[in-house]
Amino acid sequence: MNALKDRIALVLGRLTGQILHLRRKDGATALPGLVSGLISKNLLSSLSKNMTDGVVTISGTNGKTTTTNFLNFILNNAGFMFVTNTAGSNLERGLISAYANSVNFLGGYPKNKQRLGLFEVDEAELARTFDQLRPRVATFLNLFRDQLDRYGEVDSLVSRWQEMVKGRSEPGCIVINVDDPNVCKLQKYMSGDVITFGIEDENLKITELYNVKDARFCEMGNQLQYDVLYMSHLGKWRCNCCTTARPDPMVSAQNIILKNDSCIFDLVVKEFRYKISIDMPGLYVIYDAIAAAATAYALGVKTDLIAESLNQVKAPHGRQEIFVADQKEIRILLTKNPTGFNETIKIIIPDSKSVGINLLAILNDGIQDGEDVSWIYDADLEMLKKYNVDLVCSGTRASDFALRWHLAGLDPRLVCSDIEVSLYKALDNISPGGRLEVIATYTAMLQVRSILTSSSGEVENEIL
Amino acid sequence: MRSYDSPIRVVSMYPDIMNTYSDRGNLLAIQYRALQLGIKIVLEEVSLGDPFPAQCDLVLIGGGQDQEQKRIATDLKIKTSQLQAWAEDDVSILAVCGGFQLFGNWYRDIQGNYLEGVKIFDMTTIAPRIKNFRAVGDIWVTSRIEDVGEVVGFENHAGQSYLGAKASSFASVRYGKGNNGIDKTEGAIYRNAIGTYLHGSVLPKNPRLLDYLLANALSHRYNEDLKPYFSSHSPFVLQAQNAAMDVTRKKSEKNDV
Ligand SMILES: [Zn+2]
Repeated sequence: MNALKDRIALVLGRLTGQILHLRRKDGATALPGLVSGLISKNLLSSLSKNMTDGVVTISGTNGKTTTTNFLNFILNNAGFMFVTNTAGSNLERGLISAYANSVNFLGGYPKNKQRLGLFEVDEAELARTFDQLRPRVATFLNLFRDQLDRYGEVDSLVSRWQEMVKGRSEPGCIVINVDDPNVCKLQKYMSGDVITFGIEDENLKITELYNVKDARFCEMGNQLQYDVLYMSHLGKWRCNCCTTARPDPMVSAQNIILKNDSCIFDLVVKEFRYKISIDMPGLYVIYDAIAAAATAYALGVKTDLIAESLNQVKAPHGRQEIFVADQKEIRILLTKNPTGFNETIKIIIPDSKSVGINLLAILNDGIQDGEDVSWIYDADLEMLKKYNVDLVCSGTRASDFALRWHLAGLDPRLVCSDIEVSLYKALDNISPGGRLEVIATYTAMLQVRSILTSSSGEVENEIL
Repeated sequence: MRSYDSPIRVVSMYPDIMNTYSDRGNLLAIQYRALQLGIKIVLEEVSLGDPFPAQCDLVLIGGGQDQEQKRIATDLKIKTSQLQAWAEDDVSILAVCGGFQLFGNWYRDIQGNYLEGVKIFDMTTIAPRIKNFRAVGDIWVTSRIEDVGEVVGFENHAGQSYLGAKASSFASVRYGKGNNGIDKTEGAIYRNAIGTYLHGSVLPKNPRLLDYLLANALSHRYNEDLKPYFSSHSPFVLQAQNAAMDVTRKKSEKNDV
């Protein structure tokens, strides 16, 4: 009876998705889940049980979408059949939608096929859905201060994750970033398998003049020491009082070279070492890549295949995506918290001070952006001070952003809350062949994408 | 413009711990404005176990999570008598959010732990465990200090603060929750000490509050009543304040419907 109800729920959800898709309405990724969820409770739980290869969750503050996208490449190449929420719809409804959109018109799956659920899950939502998803592999990326108005403070998320791992009903496996002391701590609460990943590169040092850490103390209350700090509180940490320290990771990135448009590193898994080159810049891309590698490794994918796949990956929607308009490149860089912002600034800094930067910086204060915009004061915008920047500020909090840049010694040429106007004004100053960097919060990123895709005639309605 | 040769001494308390709500923005604003006005600053960062410097004209303390407030509470006890003495001596003080709570009489956190405060403000704060109070959102207040006027920012606190008979509020709430969501008060004042829940960060976009704190710091340094009020402000500053007020009013009106 319940199974039938689930099926009806799924079929109706799927139908909703198709109607929305035809009518090109926004919200196409979450509404099917809402419809299905209304009809059948515990749907997520029974759907997850259908996944014969189990469920994989990817969670953390930064890098969920990119890591999940990288895993898409790897699992495809490895021949997995899987259901996934590629569009970044990572709350419960989004997960059910992903299921609803994957079934056939009878609400079922073809028989005799192995099936896996691959989901990015919002870091606060994970604790609420963990028991229903019962992940075979749960991957934990990092926890940074982010939208404190919505998520609360980092400490409370850390303790919710601990309770969740401790109280899980099946052993499963967790994949953890040992460079983040808060994430690393999770292994204490785990009786099943633990796969660890991290960066091993002593030459890589943080360049920010100002940096906030969201994990500072061991459980005895002593300050953590860092042999090397990569970003925020991520690095090779140890404590002098209680001899807790970051363990050597099983999967690591070494010999890292960061370039303007790409990153190169050695992927090291046990005795195997592979050269990886990814056409996306930024240290966090490397974290995402080794997180994906460690997760695939936990699923039993051969390391050769993991390396081969990582060398083929491309940027997901709105994550360092590049558009072309009037022979000018427009690169969209999503940022939503200080750590992400600092890494983004490092990406747009040119190799030489004589090269100018054209920057459109957009700050929105919607619920998905974070209504509290004060985090811009924790980001080290001052890193750009010595460069020649043509700056335009936009978004619902354009004036807050403009003031922040002003304090950093960079006065915007234009401050305008209208994103479309700002985009064209910013492009005005660029000659053909040049590039506009767009740093945008979540809803701003969606708006920019939609302006660019509708003007070039491309149909795009995948994103919430 | 008069020149101020003797620098004002700024003590930033626990900047590595009490920095949850972008409290660094307040320090950036002070440095920016001081540079503009030709006022020199000597900055001392004072954290766990650090001694206070001998002299101080301006104290800053920001917000922290419950864990962090607990972490500094013991250390703060050692520093209490000096802070009280400075407050009596009309040192300029800005305590924001968690720092504001700990500058009151005591704070009971959501777990029920009591943290003793510095008692500069006659105020107690309770994070209620049952009714799940949380004040989160844009806030616009009108200060009781005439020179300060309108102040806009963001609040995010689970604690409800109640002022005692000896304390007066810093401001009255126009939009938002303020101290407790009930009596329309926001923050507290004692002599030249100001406590408030507003971050955002509060000083960059509230230039009159910034100037008020700096004027008090200068007056303390030179031991005379200096209200240089000062040169004009950058359009970026004024625009940010106006725009933030606009957003606050609109959001609040939308929520009321
Ligand atoms: Zn320790």
